[in-house]
Parts: sequence; C-alpha cells; structure tokens
Amino acid sequence: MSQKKTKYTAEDFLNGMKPDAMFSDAQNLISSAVNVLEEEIAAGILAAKNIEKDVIDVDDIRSDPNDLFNRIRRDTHEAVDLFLDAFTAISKQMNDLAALNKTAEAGANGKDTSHNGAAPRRDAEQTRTAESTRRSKTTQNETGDGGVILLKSGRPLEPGESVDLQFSLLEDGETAGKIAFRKTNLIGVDDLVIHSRAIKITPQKLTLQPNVEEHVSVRVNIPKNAAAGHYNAFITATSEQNIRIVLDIEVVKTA
Amino acid sequence: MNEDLMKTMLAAYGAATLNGIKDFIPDKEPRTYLYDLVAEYPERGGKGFRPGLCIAACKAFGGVQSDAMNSAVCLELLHNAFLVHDDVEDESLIRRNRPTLHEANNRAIAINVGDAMQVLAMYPLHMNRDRLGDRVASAIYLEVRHLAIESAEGQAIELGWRRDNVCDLRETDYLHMILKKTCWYTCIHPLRIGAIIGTRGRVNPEIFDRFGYFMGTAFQIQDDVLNLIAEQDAYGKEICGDIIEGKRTLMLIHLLQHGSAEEHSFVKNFLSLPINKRSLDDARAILALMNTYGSIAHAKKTAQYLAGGALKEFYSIFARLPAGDDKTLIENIVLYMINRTY
Repeated sequence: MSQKKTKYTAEDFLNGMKPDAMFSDAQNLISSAVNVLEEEIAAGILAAKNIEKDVIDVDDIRSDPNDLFNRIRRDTHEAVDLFLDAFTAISKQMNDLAALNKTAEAGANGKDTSHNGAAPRRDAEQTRTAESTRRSKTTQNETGDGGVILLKSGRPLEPGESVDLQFSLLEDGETAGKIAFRKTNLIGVDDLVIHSRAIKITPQKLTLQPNVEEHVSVRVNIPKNAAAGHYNAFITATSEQNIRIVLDIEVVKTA
Repeated sequence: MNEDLMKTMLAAYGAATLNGIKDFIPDKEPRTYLYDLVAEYPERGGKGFRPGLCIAACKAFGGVQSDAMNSAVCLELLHNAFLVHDDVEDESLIRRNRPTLHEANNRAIAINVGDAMQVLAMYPLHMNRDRLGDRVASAIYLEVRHLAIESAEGQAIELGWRRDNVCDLRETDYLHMILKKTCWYTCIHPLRIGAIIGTRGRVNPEIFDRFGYFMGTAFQIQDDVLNLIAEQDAYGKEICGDIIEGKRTLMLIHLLQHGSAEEHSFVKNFLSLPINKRSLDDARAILALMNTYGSIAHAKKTAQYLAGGALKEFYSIFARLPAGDDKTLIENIVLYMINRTY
C-alpha cells in the first residue's frame, strides 16, 4: 500500500521544474530562432546583391573613365579616412602623447577660409598644416594626410632584414628650434609588437635653422623572431606638434 | 534600477522624442485633416521603446543624447505611421484607450496621415548629415531603409496568412514573421542606430542582431499575451482584439497545432468570417481553448526563454562598456521581461 506524501520537498520542486527539459526547450527555441535569423540575413544579403547587380550597370561604368576615376578617388578618400580613424585610435592609447594630439585636433577644428569647399576635407586640413611654422616632407615615401607623414617601406621585409627610410624637415619660421624625436613600438594586428629599439632615428636630436632643410634617416631592423604582419609605429618630436610620422612596415616570412 | 525608474527613463526619452517630433511637423494648413492628426498617436503616449533603446544605446556607447534625437524622432514617427496603417489593415477599433485614427476620422484620412508621417520621418535623417557627418548619416539612412522594408515584408506575410486563412503554421513561421514585422524596427535597428551614433560608425552593428531579435520577439509575445489576459482599460485595446482580428499570434498557432480536429475546424471557420461577423462569444471560446491547451502558458514560457537568450547576448555585448544608467536601462528592460508576472 502506498503511503501518501504530506510534505512538498525540495526534490519534488526540482522534479516538477524538470530542469533538463526546460534547458532543452530553451536551447531548442533559441537554436530555432537563430536559424531563422541567419537565414533571413543571408536572404537579405543575396537580395541586396541582386539589386546592386540590376541597378549598377558595370559595363556602363567601365565605358565612362571619368566616372570610374571619380569613384576610385572617392573610395581612396574613404580608405584614407579609415586609416586616419585607426591612427586616431592608436594615438589615443599613447598617454605620453595625449597633449600633442589634443592640440592637433584643436587645430583641425578651426575655420579654413582659404579652402574653396569643393575639395574633400583632407585637402582642407592639408592647407591648414601648410600654415604651420615648420614643414616636414618625405624624400623616399609618399606624404599621407597634410598633418601626418606616412613613411612606408617599398617592399615587405623578412625577419632579420633592415630598411632605411628618410624624410626632410624645413623650418620656414624666422627662429631656430631644437627638437628631439620620440618613437613608439611597432604595433601590428592581434597584439603583435616589435619593440621601439628596432627603430633608429638619425640624428635623434637636431636644431632646425630658419629656411634650412634637414634630412632625417629612419632605420628599421626587423628582429629575427618577428612575426609576419602589418606594423605601424608613431614618431613625434618634442617641442614640435606638427611633426607626426607614421611608420608602415609589412613583415613576411617566405621560408 | 527598479521598474519605476526604468519606466521613468523610457518616459523621459519618449517625451524628448515627442518634442522633437513636433519640431518636424509643419505649422501650416491643412491642420484639421492632416498635421493635427500627425501628432495625435505620438501624444497618446506609448512605451517609448524604440527611441529609448536608440538613445540608451547611443549613450552607453559613448555618445550624447542630442546626437541621437534626429534618429529617435525618425524611428518614432515611422512607428506611429505603421500603427496608423496597421490599425486600418487590422480594422482595429481602439488604440491606447481611444478610438483608432480611422475610427475617429475615416480610413482615407488615416491612410493619408500615415503616409505623411512616413515622409516627415525622412527629414530628421537628412538633418543627421549636419549633426553626424555624411558617413554616419548615410549608415543610419541604410539602417532605416532596411527596418522599413522588413516591417512591410513582415506585415505582408501576416496579412497574407489572414487573407488566405492559413492555419497550418509552425512556430518557426511565427519566428520568421515576427523577426521581419517587429524585431528589426522595434529593437534591432534602434540599438544598431544608437550604437552607430555613439561610436561615430565604429561599431559592427551586426553584434546587436541576436540580442535585438530575442528581445523583440519576447516583447511581442508578451504584448500579445497581455492583449488576451489584461483588462481593456489597463491595456488600451479591445479585449480579445487580436483573436477577432485573426492575428497569427504564437498562442493561436499553438492552439491550432494542439487542438482537436473539431476545435481546429471551429477556429478555422471563425477566422474565415469577415472581421465584423466574428462574435465576441466565439473569440472568448477560443481564448478558453487557449487556456485549456496551455497555449498562453506556452507563449509566456517562450517569451521568458527568449528574454533569457537576450540577457546572455546583452552581457556579451555590453560587459566591456563602463557602467551607467543607460547600460542598466537596457539590461533592466530584459530583466523586466524575464521576471514579468503580467
């Protein structure tokens, strides 16, 4: 004869909850919902691509070189914007350079009356930089944004290899100024780092005389144990906020 | 944060958005037949869910409220435009405790007011260019374009089910429809837009898709449950309104799957009638069947599971952000859904 239970125990409660079944139900529901979402997103992407294909006549675009050129130019400006966004993010992390960055941003917010408004924003900034007391230019590499020199190796480097890069500085003010260079580590994606000692700046200190161009060498020695990847470093100078140089190095391992 | 504070914050963001909406309504004729009516639904007050999520996400991701206002206004105008048109399509009688716009005026005027609201919702997007720059404004425009077309597609699916009296639906059909009809525009895109503004376009908006989807579906299911079990005055819509309208809710789909053949026929026949021929007594009988088969309990449980999924997504997205009222607000909306006792 079975005995009737008079007390509701914790075990009864847990059995009543059926946690395994509950978890399974919830998991099934969430999986089902995720599948619906992923399928829907995939369908949306496909539909968008089809619309693009129908709306954009590729042959027509190719037959109009001016339009194609404008599109490329527009895309290039966007790429420069992206690069500068990434550059800004890196520079924010450099506490010791915060003051310089703030001053630079303040300058970029000013009105530029010499700019006719037709050219992209980057051109406007370039004009403002030209008004600064010291000018800097590269002798081996292309100049990036007006306020930033992009110093780039002409080819990917292997671990153990070195590269020499140069840039020039011209004091266009009326007074001489002493500067000393500062450098950061070379930083790559996925937290890859090459220590700043791999970068040698010659001369490390110099005095800029009015209207005298000074040449500066930057030697980058890639350590033998460096991992493959894209690296950037930031070079600035004491007492001179307008000198901002980004090193761009690609390390590859062919073996 | 308690429930009252959550509602207070949502109300504050909603009130700021309402003021913003008024700035975009032209002060000219025809007032009686158009512009006075544009503000009517927003002024009736809602939960302020969409602008609340947009503004809160913007602030949680480092932005300021004023940067999100144009987008919040756009979202709320579009939402109310959808409501006006939905009420016509669903032949609803009551919205937020008052006659629907087409009942208080007529269908033609209501449809035109909805059209105007959709057009007015575009101008704040244009204003975003001055405030946020071309790149971010363009990204937000594409977000809005997507949410609008998804909502229309979702509504089309449900209207089609009703027209053809489709009664063999599965739960995944419901999840698909509600993603399109509700989730994109109620949760996913308001969150995405807010975060895009807060980060000036430096966030991957797709990280919010699952969070917003789980949250939006839980929200919609709970809203549908309330429609069935709440008192009319408290809920602001007619009792059993969704059953009479033939709305394909999760409860209805569950009942159609689990009821006997005879009961299935009864429900199907009821749904085949024109709305004005469907009796309240029959609707109440269907509600009783939903209780008998545990359809409402199933829907409540489903909403709770989805809200649980949303909470997990919330922590994976927001955990790295600094603590603050707006992050807490979003978290509490989800917790409120999980703990809801109706």
